[in-house]
Amino acid sequence: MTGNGNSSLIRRLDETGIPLLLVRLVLGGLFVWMGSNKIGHPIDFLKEIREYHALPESPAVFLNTAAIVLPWLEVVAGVALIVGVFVRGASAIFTVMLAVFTPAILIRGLQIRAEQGTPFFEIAFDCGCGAGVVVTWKKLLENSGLGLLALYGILSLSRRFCLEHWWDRR
Amino acid sequence: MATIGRTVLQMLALSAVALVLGLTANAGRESGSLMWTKNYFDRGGPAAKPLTTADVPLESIKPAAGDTIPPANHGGAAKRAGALPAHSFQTASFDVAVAIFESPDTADGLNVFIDARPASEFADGHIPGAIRCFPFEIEKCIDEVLQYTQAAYKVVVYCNGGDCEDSIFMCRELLEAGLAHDQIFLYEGGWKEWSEKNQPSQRGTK
Repeated sequence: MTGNGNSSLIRRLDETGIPLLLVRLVLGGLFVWMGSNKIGHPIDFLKEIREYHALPESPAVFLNTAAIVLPWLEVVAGVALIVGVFVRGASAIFTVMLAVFTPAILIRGLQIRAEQGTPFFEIAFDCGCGAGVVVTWKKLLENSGLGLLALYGILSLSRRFCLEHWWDRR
Repeated sequence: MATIGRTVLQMLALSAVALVLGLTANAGRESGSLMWTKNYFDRGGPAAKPLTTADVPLESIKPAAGDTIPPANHGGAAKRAGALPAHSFQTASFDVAVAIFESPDTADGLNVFIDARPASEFADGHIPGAIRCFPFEIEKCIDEVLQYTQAAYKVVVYCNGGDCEDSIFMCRELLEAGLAHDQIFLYEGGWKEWSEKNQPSQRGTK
């Protein structure tokens, strides 16, 4: 099969709207679930994101705002993805989040290894992801997969089964 | 190019909705809401040296003769169980914490223990007579804490021990509320050490 044949097949598959629908349901559903878990516990989430040392403790407004808004952003973007509104924007938000948090989880895992001498493949900690204590390498693998799904959400040309498609057609 | 612009606009719109919802939910939350500008992780200035029974003579804690205070572990009883970061508060070793707990002054309400852990952990077990005050929800308990601590000789603050920092944040809150620095003792071993060494405990919310 030629390269053109491959791309044509992928495009035809994409046009069915089914791959994007699956991505929307998986990615959106996962982020809605993880965001909802954090919304109820802002103090715990604040403590967890502080552990990454990615935001300054002073002035506190950055860290506190992140703890208040990020879970809601996950839920809002997740719902948008599931119903098919602002699909590209929601996918881009998840891509950015995953591009920021995945290296941060890796760095935190390496810090824990340095502090505690734990072998890397045995390191587990609460990454503030909304799923409790996770094994670091599995989380990195999972996030990489989710990142690819989010990228597909940006690049897909199909809008079948999306609410925005229905709007555009009216 | 138009697609990129539209995507960025969509991202901004979704972020704005999340911001409004976050603001509203945080403002409407009965407990556990965060203040936007408050630094919850302020440890209260430069580090102080650990306080041991060598610095706090047990006689000053135990005025009456014949009390059942265990032998002092002079010179280094402040065991640092975890990687607790530097802070400015005097620390109480296990021996000092026990001596204060068993002092008649404590029974008279002149020494006070503050439990800086969340409600569920406090209910599972705490030092008898301790007042629960979680520093991230300080507004809910500071009035009660001040009522008992302002005239106290010693205020011993603890959380879970190890690398738990909530007791440090609670000490800083007490300092900001007007307590004197030398009134406040940070028991670093915390609940973990206290319970592991089979000291008296109490369950429930009070």
